[in-house]
Amino acid sequence: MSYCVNCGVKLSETEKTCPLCGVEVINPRQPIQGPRRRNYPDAPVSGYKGGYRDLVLPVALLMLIPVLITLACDWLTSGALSWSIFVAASIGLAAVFILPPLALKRPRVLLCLFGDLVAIIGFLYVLDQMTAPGWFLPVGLPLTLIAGVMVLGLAAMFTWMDLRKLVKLALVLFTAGLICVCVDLFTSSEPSSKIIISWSVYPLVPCVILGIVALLINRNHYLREKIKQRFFI
Amino acid sequence: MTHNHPRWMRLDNAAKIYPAVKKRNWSSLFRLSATLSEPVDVDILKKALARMVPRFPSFHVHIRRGIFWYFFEGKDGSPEPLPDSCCPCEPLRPEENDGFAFRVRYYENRIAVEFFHALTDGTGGLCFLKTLLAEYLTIKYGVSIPRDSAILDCDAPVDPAELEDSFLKYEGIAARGRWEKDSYLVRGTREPDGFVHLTCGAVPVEVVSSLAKEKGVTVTQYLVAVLIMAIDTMQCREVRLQMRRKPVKVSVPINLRRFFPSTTFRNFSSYVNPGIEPHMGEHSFDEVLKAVYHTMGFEITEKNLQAKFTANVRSEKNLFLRVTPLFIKTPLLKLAFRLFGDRKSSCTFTNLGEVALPEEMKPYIRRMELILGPLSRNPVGCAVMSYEGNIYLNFTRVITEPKVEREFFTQLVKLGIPVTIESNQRC
Repeated sequence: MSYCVNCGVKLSETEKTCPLCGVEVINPRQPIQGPRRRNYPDAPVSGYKGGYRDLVLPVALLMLIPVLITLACDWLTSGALSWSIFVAASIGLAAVFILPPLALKRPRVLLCLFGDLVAIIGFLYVLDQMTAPGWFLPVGLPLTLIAGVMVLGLAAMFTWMDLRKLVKLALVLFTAGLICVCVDLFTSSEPSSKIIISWSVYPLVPCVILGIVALLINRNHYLREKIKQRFFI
Repeated sequence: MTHNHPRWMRLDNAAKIYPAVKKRNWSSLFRLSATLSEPVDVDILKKALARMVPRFPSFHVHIRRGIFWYFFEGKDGSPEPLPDSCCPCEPLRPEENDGFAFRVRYYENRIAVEFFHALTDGTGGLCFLKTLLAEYLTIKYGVSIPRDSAILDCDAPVDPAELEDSFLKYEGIAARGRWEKDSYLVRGTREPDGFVHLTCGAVPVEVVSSLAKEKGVTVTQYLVAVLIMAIDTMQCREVRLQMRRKPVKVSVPINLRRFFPSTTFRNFSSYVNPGIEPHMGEHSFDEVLKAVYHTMGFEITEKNLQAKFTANVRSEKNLFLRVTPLFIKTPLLKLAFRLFGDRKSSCTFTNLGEVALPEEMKPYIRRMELILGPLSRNPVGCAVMSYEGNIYLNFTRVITEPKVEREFFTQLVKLGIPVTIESNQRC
């Protein structure tokens, strides 16, 4: 039997490394020959179901039932598909939001968000075609794309960069302000060559001010600690 | 001999929570195992199991959903022994075990039984394992093993007292509230494939008991104090600001049969949560020991324990709760478990004590162990059992970092206790 040079514990013959610190067991008097006997069989964990994959099929079926019923009712009553398209498109959108996160073994935020963006664009296109066509290309599509790209950018930064919570908060606030401005610009009723910002100033200004305050607090270690000390829950 | 079993049984007071809070990847399990001197003969194990399971009617059941409560329904046959897996206490899935709420596993020289906590507690489980071992040894070697209340005679009729819900029987007049401060939560990286790490430390009983005697405490109190110190040291390292440090408490299950004359094989245990408040300042080992000694001394009295479980019995008897359908009751029980369960302690430390076996069995049994299954919120649990001069401390962990065990065992080494470690770590 050997001792762990790091922890001081005696290690059973079954151990190649110390289970407490990971240091390799090296005993010149007892060199390792062949595979060691193991206390437990060396097999993968059986039956563990990571995520909620087995819920995908029941949830998909549950969503499909109302879609089929509404499509059938619509077809049987009016001989064509009209109002049921709205139900089908809405449930389809909900399916894109719900099913991929359930199906994925590990959470892939960017992939799911990209899928959601595509689904929203598709949904808006269907709405455009079913109501009064014309607003999708000039307003719906660019607004959705801009908001989607901003949200994806934020998600990418949060995923890949190690940002402090206050920086994240500031970025979210700036993005929210910018999205408001974009909505304002694209929905402005007066077509003009000049860029005129109207109501979006009201959400933009507090968002920017709060974002700057968050960044300033983030830079000041003393202030951060003081706030933590006063407001911890 | 055939035993007349009740066709169905209510779950005992403590068991009611377990099926409700069970998740797809988690169920409250514990495991008792014995390492034999020779490799296990699976055919004989099957025969022994088939012979002894009917003697334990409260184990010979599967769990069913009623309209208002879960209940046990009697089952025929016995479960097939299964080869052991890489990690102990994998979640129990009824479809994989013929519906039984316990499973028997074997690996090389080891026989292990994993119990769903709704069935029994450590005392009932130990009696089941001992009886299984006695039957196995009788069939294999023809040894005659004396039977008593700890190793049952499989031909004797079932005593109704073995099946009683002792919580209801010994319910008191006064009830005690469950409110306690939340405890520090050990954090770490969860294993993506659900692997459960097991680290077993064997320490000599005489060294630990002499150290405990020196300090005027019991072995359990001594080891609980070391565990609290280990978790406190970790918290001090992780949380710099003293004011933000949370209480470090360890949940210690208490066998109520020591205080009430019950012979039930169903759940009949309570718990105490001794601990310290690190936001008040740094604690020395002696201070922790004193806190544990006094908390356990005050809490572990017949009156206090009775008042504690009486509160649970009152909840069970509450008319409003009783008439609430199970599908509404289940989320309520889940909420209660979240509020008053694991979050009140940082870790669980259960000690079944010294296992006594008849002299006739000792030559065939090399080692006996108790293992706690993963806990619902806390990532680390510790189960202890002594056999033939050694205390086996089994840590179960669902995070990759072995920081609690490392701190605990290195503190034991610093206190002069020799520790031998083995694990189920992957190659």
